Amino acid sequence: MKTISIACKKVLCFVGMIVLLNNCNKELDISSELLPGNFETENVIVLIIDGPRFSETWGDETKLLTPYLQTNLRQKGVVNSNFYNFGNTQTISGHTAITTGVYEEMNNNGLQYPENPSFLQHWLSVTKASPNKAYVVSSKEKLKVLANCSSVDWRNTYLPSIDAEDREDEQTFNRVKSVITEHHPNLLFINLKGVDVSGHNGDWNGYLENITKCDSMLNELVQIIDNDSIYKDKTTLIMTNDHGRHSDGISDGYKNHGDNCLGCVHINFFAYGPDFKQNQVFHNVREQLDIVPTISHLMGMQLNQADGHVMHEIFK
Amino acid sequence: MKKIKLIVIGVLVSYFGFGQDKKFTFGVDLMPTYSIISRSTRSELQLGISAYRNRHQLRLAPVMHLQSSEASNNPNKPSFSGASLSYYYNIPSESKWFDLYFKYEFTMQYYENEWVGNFYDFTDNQYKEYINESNEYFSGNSVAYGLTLNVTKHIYAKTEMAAGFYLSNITGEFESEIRPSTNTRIDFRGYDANGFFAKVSGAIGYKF
Repeated sequence: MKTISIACKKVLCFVGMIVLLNNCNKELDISSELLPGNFETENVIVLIIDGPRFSETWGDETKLLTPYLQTNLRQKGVVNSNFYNFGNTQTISGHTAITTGVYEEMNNNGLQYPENPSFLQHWLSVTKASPNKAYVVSSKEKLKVLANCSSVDWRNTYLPSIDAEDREDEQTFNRVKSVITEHHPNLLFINLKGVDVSGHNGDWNGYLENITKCDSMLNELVQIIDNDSIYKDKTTLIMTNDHGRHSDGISDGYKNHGDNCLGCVHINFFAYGPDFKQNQVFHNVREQLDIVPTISHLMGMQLNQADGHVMHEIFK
Repeated sequence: MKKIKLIVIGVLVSYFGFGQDKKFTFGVDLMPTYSIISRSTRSELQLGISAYRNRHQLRLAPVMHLQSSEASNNPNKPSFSGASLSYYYNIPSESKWFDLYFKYEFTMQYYENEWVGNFYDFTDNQYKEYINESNEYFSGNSVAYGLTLNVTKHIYAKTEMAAGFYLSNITGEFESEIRPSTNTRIDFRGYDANGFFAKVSGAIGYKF
């Protein structure tokens, strides 16, 4: 009888664990309206430069590869020099961590939706705004998965507009400019792939050139915001990376990424906007998961799914 | 694949084969199951017919789908969804009250579900809902470990926990007249095309 009792306890324990896990899966609720905030920000643009190492960007001692970021942009906004991807350092996982606030091991071929809805879906569901007001523009077609999710409660609802094709970054940036001119989205999520592609091709010079090119595009984006009557003083820009690349001496170095070596996990963070401090470099440890809570805080949304924390230190 | 077939045939012949002088016994059971597949859950009911010989048991059962967290339409409406084929290896204990067992189960199922999505109608400037019907073919292979409580000589209760691997294929079509434009991307899969699942089951049965 003692054996039966132990066996029954084990079964009950297992069933209890499953019921608990199942209930945990249902915590995807959000508030039904935007909370009143004291912020100037009405629009958020997130720029993902795909796959540069920290050592060739903000961490580059010569400061020659990212001249705009290292000089006038840093004066306009904030930089965090200890920013990380603590999840899977592949492209899609890195992007979904930024859009959902949750680390998830994703299929990297674009065949799997993230489990959780993105901050773009959340925002559309609360505001009931047109999909043109929440846009994803990407140089990689597989990033179409960022527009949807597999959660039963959210799947195929409040989908943001998506313009994702395998194309050169210049073409993507032109699309970004068109989208801004035509729609002035409140939320705009951008991916530029050139750095990552050059790295995978083993083209060191191309890799460095693309880093400089992206730095130039980042600067141009800031100028667009500053010169646009709708965006000026109401728009926050966040630039970060989905992942870095292997440190020298690890695997094939800059040509690949995907593990948790420092080169892969250490990434950039730059933010500029009316509610953020200026000309400050922070060294506290932050990670990709902190971006969604920070955007939600700015936009008055309440996202309970996100595992990160608001980056209060960068606010004025 | 050929090797697996030969092993299965070998097992069947050696334990249920012709020319054996030991007798078969038969039984029926009612088995509710609760499965977790990725983020979705399913409750089902199996009505099993079993053949016993020594420690071995072969069971065939139609599967009735009772509840799903996946479908937006009548998720609690019972419907016949497929069949389950199981092999049990029973391990008698020193007590007459209970036995333990290992189990392998193969299921083949078909589900029809409806889903609700929404899209933005740029003419009316508002979101509108649409309904999509999905058809899913689902197969699962699982192994389980369980306990049999022998209430009487003929009546027993079982409880088990299982883990397995599933393969699934979904096709869909619009049901409602209102539908999003063709360039709107939709997908109704609630989980991957393949992956792992967990299942807990209980059963009451009668052995003839």
